[in-house]
Amino acid sequence: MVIEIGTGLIAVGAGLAIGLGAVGTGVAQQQAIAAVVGAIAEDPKMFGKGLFFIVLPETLVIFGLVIAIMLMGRM
Amino acid sequence: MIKPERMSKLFLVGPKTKLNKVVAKLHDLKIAHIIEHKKDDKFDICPPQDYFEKISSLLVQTRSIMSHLNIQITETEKKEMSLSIVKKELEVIKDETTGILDEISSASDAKSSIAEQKNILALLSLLNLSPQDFKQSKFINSYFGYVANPINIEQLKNITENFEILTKEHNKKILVAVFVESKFAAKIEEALNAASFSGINVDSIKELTGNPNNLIEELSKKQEKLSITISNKKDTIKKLAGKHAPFLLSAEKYLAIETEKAQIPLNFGSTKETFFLKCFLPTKIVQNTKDELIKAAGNKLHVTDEEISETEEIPIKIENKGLVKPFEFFTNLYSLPKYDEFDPTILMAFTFPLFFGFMLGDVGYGLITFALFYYLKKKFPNGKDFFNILMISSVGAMIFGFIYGEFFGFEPYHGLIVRTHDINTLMIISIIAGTVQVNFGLILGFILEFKHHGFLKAAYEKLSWILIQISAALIYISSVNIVNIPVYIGYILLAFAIFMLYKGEGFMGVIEIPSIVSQIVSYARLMAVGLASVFIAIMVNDFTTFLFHKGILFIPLAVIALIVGHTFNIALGILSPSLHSIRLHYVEFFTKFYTGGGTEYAPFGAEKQKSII
Repeated sequence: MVIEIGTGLIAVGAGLAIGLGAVGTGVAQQQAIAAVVGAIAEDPKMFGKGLFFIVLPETLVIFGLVIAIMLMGRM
Repeated sequence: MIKPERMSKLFLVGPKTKLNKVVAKLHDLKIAHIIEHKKDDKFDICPPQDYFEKISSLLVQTRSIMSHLNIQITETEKKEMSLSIVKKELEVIKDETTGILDEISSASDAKSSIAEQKNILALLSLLNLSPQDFKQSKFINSYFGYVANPINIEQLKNITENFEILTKEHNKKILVAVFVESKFAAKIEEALNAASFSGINVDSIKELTGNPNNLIEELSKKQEKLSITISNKKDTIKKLAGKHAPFLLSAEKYLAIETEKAQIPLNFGSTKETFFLKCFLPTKIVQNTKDELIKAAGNKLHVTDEEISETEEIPIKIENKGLVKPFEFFTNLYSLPKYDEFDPTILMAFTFPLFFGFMLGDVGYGLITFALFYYLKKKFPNGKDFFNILMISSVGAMIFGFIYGEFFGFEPYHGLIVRTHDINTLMIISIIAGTVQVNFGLILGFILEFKHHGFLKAAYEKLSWILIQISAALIYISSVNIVNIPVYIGYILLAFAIFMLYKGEGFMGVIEIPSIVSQIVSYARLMAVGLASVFIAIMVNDFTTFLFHKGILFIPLAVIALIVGHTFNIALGILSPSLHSIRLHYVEFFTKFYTGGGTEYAPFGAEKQKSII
């Protein structure tokens, strides 16, 4: 099976899109979680709200996934 | 339903002689949200009822007895009682219990001091010493304790020859007892400190005489006796608790209510002979309430409607029925609406389960989560609303499961949409859902702005966003020749929309333009979270099938993998879709029309709401 270099590059791009998105989410969540854990230690009632703040940065990896899927459509 | 309950404000004036009656009636009605009167030049605040101190001290006593008897405060029916009966009965219970409680505490004290003595005696017996050796003496100082480093005997000998030292290794440290003539005490202490000496206080055993081992045996017997006494007394207390619990619980309830009643006048204003108060209550019951209050005060109460000023904070009561009701939980979690805003509960009640179902979308998972939340609801009635929401959402998941044709990740039949293949379709549906919801939010925002600030401002701030989207779509379809109109029309519309936005929200608004794209694309999570869930399920199934075909020995392993894998996925399938669904509402939808920050309608006399989160 011969794959053109362009197709390969698209695959690499899709991988980068989702991978870097995940890294971004991770970096953002690291801070959010640290703060939320502190808040929960102070007041366990913050658990629900805290959980919500933790998922906020997940948008980044979802954007990555969208781009990846769009790129895969061009392969 | 779409707006918070309409409120009216009442102003009540009456003579202080009728204060009791009016307060009692207000408490019974449980509808008046009383506004605190702040002391000013003209009117002082009303003092609490004269029996307030008596009653609150009784309440404290009751609660203290209850905590000693280990009675938890639970929901009880309100019972009519009278102060004198409560007081008398409390005295009786106190007399019965205090003596026993004191005996228990002194017995436990004795028990713990015996335990301490035993510890010290055990250490003494290691060095073959007995308590008498530590008798107070003028001429001899004794030291007993641990040292971290070995003691330099030569150093001691340099100080004096007249000493005795006993050492033994114990617990990785060195136990040491030193007896020395008093006049060398200072120097010896110095030497001991050099070896990091930490003393053990032997005061508690100084009175004892005899062999340590015999003493320990004696003390153990004493200790056992004490234990038996304590457990007997505790049984008695338990019996007493059982006997008095019903009375104490209802007394607590009664006193708590009476305390509340007795101190509510602090929120009223007063003159020498009269009191007055202002309160909010739902408009639809104003007339009825007026009549009832006046009747209760024997016609000696003056009630008038008061104008509500623009700046005033009106308490918010949101009123939803049936299946929508539990979703008030999410509204409360975010923030209550302002008086003029829409109550978003009913909007969420429709889209939350829809989004949740779209993401989880599996008949099997839906069934399991439904059963799980039904169980949790029975187990933790406090979280009823939350679990109801999730049960409704589980039904959504089942419906979408049928559409996708998914059952625990298997595909027994070919669904309308096959999630593993029609990824693009899913994405398009998600984006359409996003476009619809975001624009719906903008329209709601437009309506609110229109009401408060007129058409122009509303158009600049909200309509401009919708126009931007329309013009972008127009540019796209005309440039790829889907419709045959010149491309520049789209650009002109876009420029116009941007100008409107600039008028409405200034330069910052223009900078924010890309955010509308990211907000709509954000709805792609509907597809993404669902895909993650379905692929994990498929992976678990494939792995198990692989194990099943490995041979009979692998079957138990396969079953374990199946259960663990799906449990994990269900846990994730509850957490992720619900959080992402609520996030879409809070962040993408609410920001278009909702600020919140209303104060809760808290009528005097009503129970405070409880929540688990």
